[in-house]
Parts: sequence; C-alpha cells; structure tokens
Amino acid sequence: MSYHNLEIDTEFIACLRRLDERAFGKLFHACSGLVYSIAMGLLGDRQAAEDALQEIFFKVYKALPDFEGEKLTSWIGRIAQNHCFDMLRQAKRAVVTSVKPIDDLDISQLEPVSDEFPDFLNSLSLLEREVVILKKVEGLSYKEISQLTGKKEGTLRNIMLKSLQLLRGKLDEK
Amino acid sequence: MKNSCENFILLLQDYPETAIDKESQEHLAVCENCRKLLENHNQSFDLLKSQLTLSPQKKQQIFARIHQTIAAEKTQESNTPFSTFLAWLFAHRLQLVLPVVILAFGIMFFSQNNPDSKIQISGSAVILRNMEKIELDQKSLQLALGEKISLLKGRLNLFWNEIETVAIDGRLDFSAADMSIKAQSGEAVMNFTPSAKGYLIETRRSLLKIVGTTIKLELTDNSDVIFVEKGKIEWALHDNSRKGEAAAGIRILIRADNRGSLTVEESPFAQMNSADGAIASQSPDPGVKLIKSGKDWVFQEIEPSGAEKKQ
Repeated sequence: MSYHNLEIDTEFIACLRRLDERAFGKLFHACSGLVYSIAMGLLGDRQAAEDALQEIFFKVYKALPDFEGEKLTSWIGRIAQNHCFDMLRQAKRAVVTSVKPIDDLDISQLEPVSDEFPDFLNSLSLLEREVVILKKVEGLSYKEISQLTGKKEGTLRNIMLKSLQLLRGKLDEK
Repeated sequence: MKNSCENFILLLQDYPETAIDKESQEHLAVCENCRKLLENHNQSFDLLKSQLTLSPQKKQQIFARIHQTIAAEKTQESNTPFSTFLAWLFAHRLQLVLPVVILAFGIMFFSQNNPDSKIQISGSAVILRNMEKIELDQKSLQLALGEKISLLKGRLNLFWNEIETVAIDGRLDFSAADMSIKAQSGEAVMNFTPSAKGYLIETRRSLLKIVGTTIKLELTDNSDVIFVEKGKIEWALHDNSRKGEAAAGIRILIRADNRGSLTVEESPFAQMNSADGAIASQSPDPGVKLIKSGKDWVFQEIEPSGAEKKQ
C-alpha cells in the first residue's frame, strides 16, 4: 500500500485514531520509507536515521488519537522533520554554543559530508538535501513537499534546479 | 544550443514524472553534456534510492522495536493504582454482578418509597388516576413527580415532603412537581398554607406565584380566571409580556381570542358570605357560583328567580 492511497481512506484513518494495531502496522509499512528518507536527508547517518524512524513512529502512535483530518503523510512528515531538527539541535548544542535557525545551517556545520550521498548532495543545505530526496527518491510532487516543508513550490523548484546545476558542475569538473 | 541545455535541465526538475519530450530527445542526440547529465542523474538517484531503501528485515526489526516501546508504555500505564483497580474489577466481574443487582434494586425500592421524591395526597375526594376512579376516603396516596391526575369532586390535601402545602376543592386536572402545580383545566379553590409561599401554579396561559394565598381557579379552553380570595399572588403570562401582582378581592381574567392573542383584565369581585359563614366568590359565569358548604366547596346554579340549586 502506497502512502498516496492512505489519504482518501477515511475508514482506515478512523481505525488509526482508535489505535487499531493492524492499521498502525499498515501505516508503518506504507510510510516508513518516507520517514526514513526524511531522517536520512536531515541526519545523513544510517544508524541515526533508523533510531529516528523508531522514535518518530512512536510519537506518531501517541499522537494518532488527536489526528484531525489534515493530510496524513504531511502530518507524519512534519513530525519526522521536527524530530530530526530536534536531534540536530541537541547534537549542535553539544558542539557549538551559537544559535542559528535550522534552515540557515549549512550541512558543513553539522555533517561535513555523508558517505551515503553523492557529492553534489553534500554541497546542499539540510533543507535542500531533504527537498531533493523527497522529490527524486520518494517521488513526491512539489505540492506535497510544499505541504510538508512549508516552502513555496517556486522555492522548491529553485532548490531542485540548484541541485541539478551542481550535478552538472561536478561533471564539468571531471 | 545553450537555450536547449537550459530547457533540458528545467525538464529534469520534473523528471521522471514528466517524460522526455521529442524536442529534448533531439537535443540529447546532439548534446553530449546533457546526455552525460541525464546518465549521471539517473545513476546518482538510483544509487541514492537503493541506499535509502530499508530492507524488509530491517523494517520488521524497527517495527518490532516500536511495538516493544508501545507495549512497555502500556504496561507502565496499567500499573497505576486506578488501572490496577480496573483490572481487579474486570477479574472479579462475575462475583460482583449479584451485589450490584441487589444494590440497584435497593436504590430503586428506596427511591420509590422515599417521601422526598414523591408527592402525597389525602382527603375526602374522588380522583381519576390512570383511568381508574379512586375514592381517597382520608387514605394517603403517593404520586410520582409530574403525574397527571384529575380531581373529580371533594377536597384533597397535597403534601410535599410530608408537609401540607395546598388544599384543592372542586374539580381540576393537574399534575404536581417540585414546588409547583400544573393546572390544565377545571374549576377549583386552592388554599395554600404559609409553608407554600413561593409555590408556582402554571396554567396554559399564565404562571402564578403564591404569596400566602387562597385562590380559586376557573380554567377553560378559552380563559383562565383567577380569584384571589386571601393573601396575594404574583402572576405573569408565559411569554412574560404582561405580569403583575393581585391582592385579595381581585379577579384576573386571561382570555384568548380566535388567533390565540391574550387579553388580561383585572377587576374587583364581590366576596359573599355563604349561609354557614364561609367566603364564597362570584363566578364570572353569572349562572354559576362556588360556595363553601361545611368542609367542601360546591358549585351552585343560580336560578333566574334567585333561588340556588345544588349541582
């Protein structure tokens, strides 16, 4: 079951709100890929992303009875994003004392490079990397990414263009 | 050519959801850079996709860990004193059924026999209750709150919390509730004791508040006539459009016309002494009057000659 189909199944959502175990299992198997991609995009570390996946779905489970009618994937995506940002803030607090909005943080300040990603992705900011992964790996539309990240579709297209230009730049270097 | 390269990179923004069109395919055939870009794009993202894909075993492991965390939290929650009590109740539910049933019956029995929750009537009167004619003959009878009865003749005393509040003489369809009487129709004299101060009489058209009073009601389909014999009452129409006070000797006539509009008239009425010295009041129907004879109030037709005939 794809998470794209979850949105329209009101009976399924009602089961989730009642914390039906089968429905929750279905939700996990449908959305774990998306959540893992978000976690990997932001954390850049396989083990940290797996831990985050577990913690995020536990948060989702606890919040499900209060879920109200908005898009399920966007809701889960935002929980995932906020959880990862919290993890990054905690990690950053341990290293540096300056406080900077998370969107402005350059990846080099947190995760210099991740072996998991191609070079051109390592040149992007956290948010840019997340956007590229959501688009190219998870196949989300710009509208869906916009609902999840709160960024305008035009901004998201520019991020994608920037990443493709970086990819082309890397080719030119060779 | 540069324009075509820029167009191609723009197309990649939506690729692979948007297919490579004919124009771009023609461009790819002649542009090595864009061919390499597409090739590298596909390789990079295919590799990334494979790296970001969790194996089914890994997914299962993580899901099992989530389940464990949820189960651990549930166990922690179920160890609270309240949940332990609930668990004990559930475990002993069968043993608890009998005492609960006995308790429920006890409560029902007590509530049915609790004078606080019932109204009592007694006196020498004939009433109609649930289509059954009952002669009270000084016996006491309990009424449920709001139960409708009809006083057919005689006089009944109404007790609230074992305290007499009102004596009703005549004939009246009514129901009694908490410190109130709903009077539907009929003609009766109501004599309230001082303890009934604040009692409410609700007719179809008005609300009367008792301030230590003897009143006589004549309730018909078209009018309410209230004679204040003693003390005074406060009265108001249901829509509160008119209200006032009426003292002893005042008659209030509330009349409804064909359209349901109400008119209120207040006028003095002549109180007459009957043969045994009791007070009788003048009915608005000139052919009938209510007089007290011994303990009872009776209606008498006034013969054209002036002689009275007992009904």
